Amino acid sequence: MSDADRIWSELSVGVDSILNRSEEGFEKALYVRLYTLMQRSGVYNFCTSLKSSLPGGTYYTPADASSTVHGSMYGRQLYTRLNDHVSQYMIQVAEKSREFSGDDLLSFYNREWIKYGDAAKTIHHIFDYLNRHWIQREQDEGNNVCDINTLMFRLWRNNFFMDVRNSLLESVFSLMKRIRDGQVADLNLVKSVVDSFVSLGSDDMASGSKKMEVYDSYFLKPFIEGSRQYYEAECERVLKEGSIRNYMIWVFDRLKEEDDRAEMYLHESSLREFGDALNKVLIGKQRASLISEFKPMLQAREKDDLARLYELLKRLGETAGLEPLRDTFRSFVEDAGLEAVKKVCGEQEAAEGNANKSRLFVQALLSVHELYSSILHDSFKDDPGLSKALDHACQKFINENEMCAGKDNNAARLLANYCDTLLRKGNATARAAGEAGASSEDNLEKQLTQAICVYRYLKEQDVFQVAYGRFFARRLVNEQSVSSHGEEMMISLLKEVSGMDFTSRLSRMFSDITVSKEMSERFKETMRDKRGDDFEFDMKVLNTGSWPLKAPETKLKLPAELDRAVDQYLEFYSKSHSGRRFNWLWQYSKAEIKMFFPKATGPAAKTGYLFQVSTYQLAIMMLFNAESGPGTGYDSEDGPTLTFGQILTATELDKDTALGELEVLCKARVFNTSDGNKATDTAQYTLNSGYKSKRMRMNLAGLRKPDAKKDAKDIQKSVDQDRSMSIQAAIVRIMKARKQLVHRELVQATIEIIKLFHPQISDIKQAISKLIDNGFLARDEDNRDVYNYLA
Amino acid sequence: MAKGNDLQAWFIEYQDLDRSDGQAVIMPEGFERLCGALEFDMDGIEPMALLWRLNAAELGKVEFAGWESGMRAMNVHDTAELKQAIRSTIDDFGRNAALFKSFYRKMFDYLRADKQKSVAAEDAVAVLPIVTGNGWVFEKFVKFLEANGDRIKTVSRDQWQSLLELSKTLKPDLSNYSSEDAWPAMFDELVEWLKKPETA
Repeated sequence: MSDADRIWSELSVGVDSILNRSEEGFEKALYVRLYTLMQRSGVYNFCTSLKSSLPGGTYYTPADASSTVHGSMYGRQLYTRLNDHVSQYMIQVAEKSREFSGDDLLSFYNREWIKYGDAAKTIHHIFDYLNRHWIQREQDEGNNVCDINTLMFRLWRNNFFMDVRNSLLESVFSLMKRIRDGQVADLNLVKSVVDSFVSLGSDDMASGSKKMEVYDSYFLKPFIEGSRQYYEAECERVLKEGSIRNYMIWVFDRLKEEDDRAEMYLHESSLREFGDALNKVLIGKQRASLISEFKPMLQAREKDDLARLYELLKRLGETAGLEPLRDTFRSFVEDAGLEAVKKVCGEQEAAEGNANKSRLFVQALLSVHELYSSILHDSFKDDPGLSKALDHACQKFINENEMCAGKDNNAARLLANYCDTLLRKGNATARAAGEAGASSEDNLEKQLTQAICVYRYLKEQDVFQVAYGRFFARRLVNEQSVSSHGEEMMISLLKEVSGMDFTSRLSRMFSDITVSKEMSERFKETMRDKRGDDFEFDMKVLNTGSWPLKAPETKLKLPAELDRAVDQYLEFYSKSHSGRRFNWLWQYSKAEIKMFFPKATGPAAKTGYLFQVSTYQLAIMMLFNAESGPGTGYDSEDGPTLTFGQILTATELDKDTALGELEVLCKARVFNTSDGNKATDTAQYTLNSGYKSKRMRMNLAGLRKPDAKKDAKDIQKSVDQDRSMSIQAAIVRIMKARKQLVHRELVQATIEIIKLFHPQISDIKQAISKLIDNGFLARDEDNRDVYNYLA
Repeated sequence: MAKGNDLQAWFIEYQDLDRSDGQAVIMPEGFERLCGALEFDMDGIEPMALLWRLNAAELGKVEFAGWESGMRAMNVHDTAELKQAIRSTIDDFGRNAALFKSFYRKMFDYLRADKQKSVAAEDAVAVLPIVTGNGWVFEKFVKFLEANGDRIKTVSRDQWQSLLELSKTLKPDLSNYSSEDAWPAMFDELVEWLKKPETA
């Protein structure tokens, strides 16, 4: 036996011991001995045996040994012997493995793998010298020699793994099937097998980098295929046994199981591919029938089923899974909204006046919106695509429905009306429609927020703004706001959506009222002892530009007392603000008077009746005051008798107004007339001196309600004017920036820049015409299609 | 070359001598006499072409400065030459688009009242046929104005000028008109109205 052989036989014993160490135990001492053997004696021995065979008795140092051809030969010998030895070992292991199958095989493989892994590491360290010298050099020269650790794994793979891998896979499948069928089994066994597949790397070891080829082709692909087949069969079974709904529930649960499990044993890079394959077989195949369940689920509002369906289809991706839902959802919600509005149109209550109509309308819109919003949130997790679908649907049914089909009604005006009912005093019905039990402030806030929700969807927000502005102005002027805080809340909600342009006007109106109040207070203070009249009065001073109020339709000659008071106020006011011009809006003012009828009986005779009257009514009634009558004094015990004509002359009211107010007064039995107590322009009027009523207080002023149709017309006119100005302003802005623009581009830019409403092309053309006429724009001489900005 | 005082003398024949402000102008009455001398029909196009050539700013009112430069430009010395010059101008309208355009545009200013920016629809109806002869677009436009006289009361400068362009390009079957083009909004109405069967 040569030295080399002797050394190798020692080494091989050690190697075997390491390979088998789990059965025999491993001593650290042995390790040290082998290492030292390798390091010093082994090499030295090689070198000495080398030396002995060389002529001349030349000596070689260990360092030299690796750099000679002879040293290289021995390195190769060592390498080769190790290679052969371990190969033998692996073949034995492979033979042994044939005794096992199923879970036992997996266990066996797992044990051997772990053992071998440690062994490979140890042997790699022991042969460290070889690694660092001979192997390194071979690699530098580009030869296909790998380090010991890598060699070990290669040997495992070529001599054992390739042999056993099919059985391994079979065992894995059978184990997975058992798990999937609900039995208990050790998933860790699979994990170990997977790890070993991963570690075995690619076929090309020279590069030293670990690739997933072994894992991919020998494990993952077959595994995925096996899983696919398993589920294909299962799907058929489940579908045969039950409904598609049951199928969904089953799929949902199984997928969740698989997801959870996969993280425990699959390599993380495979999760995606694995998931996709499962999705395809479990969901993709049934896509059409699943999608067809969507509509029935919506109809029955089955949130849980919808949530499941959504999750499942989401796994198929945006295009394949979710897009088909969007259109169905949109048209479903749209139909639901249209249907709800249609119902309202048919309801009796809706025909009974605008307040009811608008309330029912808005509530119908809100109920549909809320229902499908909650489904969107609870079942679809606010999915962006479906959220957009909901928005489109709402935009459609809120603006284009049966209620708003004609010219009479308009979503924006109805909404404004609804908001008015919420914020105006005396509208308990609307507010009570909120939640019972919540404080009325919270309730109001909730309802206003809901109203804003509808506002966002309006196509013609500017119509709302004009209408709301008018209602708001009326509430302020008539002191009908149910809560000042509520008004402010609404203004800030509107500001969030539409910015300052609109709400600043409202805020100015609001502050006018506040300032007026302060003024009035100060006036009362200053005049406390000076006035001499025994009545109180309040002035509201409003900024003409901010208020949508018109001048009165009739003149009025104030009763003398009122005249005096007004003068006093003006004097006081002009001390702080001079040079202001006033327009009197008597049509908006009211008075409270105490009437002592000459022949009244009953309890009120002594205390008098309290009437709330309009200023016009006041002017008329004051004529019949004994002290301030038109100079005729008492005609009779009942006081003066006046003809219609005399009333007109004295009050300077116009015919229609006077007649209207007299009608109210006569109906209230304040006056008697010579015309069967009816108010006509030929009658003569006397006070009803024997007036008697159970009610001590009467409101005669609020009985002339604004004409809804006329209101609507006024609003539309105002809106049209505003729009015309907006379009012109937009065009000027665009042209100022661009200086020159082709017609179609100008139209396009105008449409894009205006957010509040959709300008019609004909309106844009009209605006262009006006601007040309007024010298802001000119058509280009050479090209009719082009406009030039005239600075 | 007409001498300055000849033109002046000629001008004075028609000048309004009652003016208190001393301005040298021919007023409508004098202008009518001039047209009589030229044998121009007052209801025809010649008086207007004449006004235009004499650089009048308003209908029926000619100032001396305009008279002088106009006569010189036409190289005209007497009534016969003036008559000829105006006649040939009118002939040229048919041939020279730029010339007619300039005249046509000026007509708008003649028609509108002093302070107004636009021309009264009824005035347009009366004058367009005279000025534009037998252009079919103008004919239709006039009928359109007549039919919608309760709604459409004025014609703006832009509409007036655009009408000339329309007359040059619009096809009789209206196929090349699009409301998305830069035509004034009124023309959209016009075309819609023309498309109606009862209008045809």
